[in-house]
Amino acid sequence: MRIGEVIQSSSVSFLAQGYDIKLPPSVGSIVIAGETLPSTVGVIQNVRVEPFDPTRPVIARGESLESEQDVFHESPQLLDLLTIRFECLIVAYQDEYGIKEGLALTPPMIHSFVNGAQPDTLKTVAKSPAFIRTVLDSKNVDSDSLLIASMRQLELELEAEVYRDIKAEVKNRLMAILARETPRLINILGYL
Amino acid sequence: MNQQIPPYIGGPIGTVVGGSLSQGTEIKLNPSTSVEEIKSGHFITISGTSRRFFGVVTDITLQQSDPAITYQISTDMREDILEALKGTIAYGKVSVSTNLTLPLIEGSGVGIEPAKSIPDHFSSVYMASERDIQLVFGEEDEDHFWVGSPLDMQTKVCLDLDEFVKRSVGVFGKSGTGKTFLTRLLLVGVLQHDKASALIFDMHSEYGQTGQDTDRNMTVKGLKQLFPEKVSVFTLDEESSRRRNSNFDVEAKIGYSEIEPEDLELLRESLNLSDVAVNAAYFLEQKYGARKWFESFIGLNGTEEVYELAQELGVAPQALRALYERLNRFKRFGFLVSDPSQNVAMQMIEHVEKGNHVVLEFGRYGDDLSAYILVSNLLSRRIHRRYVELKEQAVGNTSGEPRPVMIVLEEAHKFLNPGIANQTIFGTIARELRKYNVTIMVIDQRPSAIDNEVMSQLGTRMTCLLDNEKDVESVLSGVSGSRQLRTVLSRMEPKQQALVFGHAVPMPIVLKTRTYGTEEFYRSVGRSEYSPEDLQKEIDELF
Repeated sequence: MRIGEVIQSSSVSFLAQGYDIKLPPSVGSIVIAGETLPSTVGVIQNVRVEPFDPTRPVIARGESLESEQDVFHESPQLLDLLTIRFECLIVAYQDEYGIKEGLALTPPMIHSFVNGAQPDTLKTVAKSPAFIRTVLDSKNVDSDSLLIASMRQLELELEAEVYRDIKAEVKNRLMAILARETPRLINILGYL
Repeated sequence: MNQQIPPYIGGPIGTVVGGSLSQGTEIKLNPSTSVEEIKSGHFITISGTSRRFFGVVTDITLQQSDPAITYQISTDMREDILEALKGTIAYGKVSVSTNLTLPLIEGSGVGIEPAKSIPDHFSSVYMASERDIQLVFGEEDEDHFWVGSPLDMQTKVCLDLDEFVKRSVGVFGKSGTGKTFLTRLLLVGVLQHDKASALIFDMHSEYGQTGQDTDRNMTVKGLKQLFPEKVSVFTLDEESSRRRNSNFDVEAKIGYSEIEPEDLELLRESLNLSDVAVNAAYFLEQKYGARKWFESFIGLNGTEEVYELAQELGVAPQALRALYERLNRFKRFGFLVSDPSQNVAMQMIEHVEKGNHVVLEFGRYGDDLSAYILVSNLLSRRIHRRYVELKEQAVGNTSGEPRPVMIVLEEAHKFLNPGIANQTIFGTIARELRKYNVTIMVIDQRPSAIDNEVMSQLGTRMTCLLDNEKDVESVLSGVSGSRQLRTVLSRMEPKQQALVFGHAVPMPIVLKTRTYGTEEFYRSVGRSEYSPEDLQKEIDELF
């Protein structure tokens, strides 16, 4: 399902804009930017709902209103002045030979459509060491929480049996990656 | 025909992660391998790149990749998290002494060799299969004797008997750990395969006839019962032998003339003699003559004559009196006579030269250390002397090589302690090794009291449990990998287990020793509980 399109891009991450502020994508979701090959696989690490124009900050409007819904009912233009932007961490790319772990060779094109990944892609990406390592190394958010969020998304999107396999694989990889950081490791395992 | 080595037992148990040739190989256990399944003394094989390595587990440790884990673990932690950490972040590590290399393909012409290198990093590690152990320790045949099995395995471990009898042997262990049974077993091997003649100074009359198994509360057959046609029993105590229904062949009498001043050197401690008193014996020998001094001296009529003799010889009177009193105790020994009708030493030698084995039972004299030391020393000296002659004749091509003889000696530290080892015939035998085809098998519970030089000459050492630090150090002195073996030795069970190393085995091994005294055992050595007559009777009754 299409959830947005790329509006800013680099070889390590891209920023996408969503289409519907009432349906923001979930942090930790694995997405694909670009509908033709090579496409880029990313993990949503931060979702922002904000004004289109950063010079026109949002102000509070509900002081005298009964409910939150009344805010939008009284000022329907607000929906057109707000937008969703989400940052994606690049964890893999896909070419004609399949999914390759690691950074994309080139950044995704601006206006590339961003879609949720299919189960096969989810399975391949989630099991790859680069996925776990890249997520754990991410600097802009709490990386451990991001990994936990990704796993929760996978649990929602995949069949139970498939998810169990992936979880076991991820646990094994975590053991190796965080062998010398047991407090982090035990914290993450506690959520899996 | 080339034959692929049989499949490994249960897949790899771990991976090589470090090590050195001198300290052994370090193995990280796989998460699926429980540390509790691996025991000190277990055999393992390592599949290197170009060869397989064979080794023994010497130490097992619990390790963790991050010391901080110690502070993270609590008893209320989720079970699945603990399981996940176990074997990965917290894992088992095994130290292995890699002793040998095996061919990758059995029958490829590559033999078993001492390991001169160590396996590559990340080589896979397996528990040794029964076939691996057979390859290393040989199969039971005319040159190999089944002496026991590795821990937790049924495979037979065999001694190379040719190597076993070529050099002196040590059997050690603290009291009650099975030294006597192990020795009996080893002697059965030597006798059954006819590799040497044994001369056993049987202190407590345990080897010739029936022996006692106090653990199983039963009697076991002795060597004479197992090999009646090959074993001759000599007794120093006819009464005791008759009481025990011991079917002895010769009542041994030893002449006073056989005793030499050198014998007293050995008896210094047990007779509580001073140096002066011992030296006085040499003066007595000069005065009365080599073969007459002892009888003449103990025949003196009281203290007055002793003092007169002391004055004549220029010896301290009190020292000579002490010697006189101590040596007069020998009159109680019924086997010491003035004029024996036979020469026991020569009779023993004749039996040995004919290929027989001699057990000398001490009967009640076995409790008297002086008697044991005196008799075994003087007889061994005569036998050694004869063997030197025979060997020299063989070198001069006037006769064939003398048949190897192994002298079995209990309480060996009394003969081989550092103070006297240089002066006794046993010290000489141990040092000269096989030069004259005479070796000794020392049985002792205090190896630390045995002279280091003698210990270093023992070709094969077999030790049951020892817990005294000095004894452990002494047994393992001069052995490659002694640090690791020390751990193995200290973990052995107090019964029916022995650490064996030296020339008769390709590498050190902890054995569960073969059970002596069962019907199966007797059958395997060709001596069933049933005689041929009994069997015929049973057959007749059946049909």
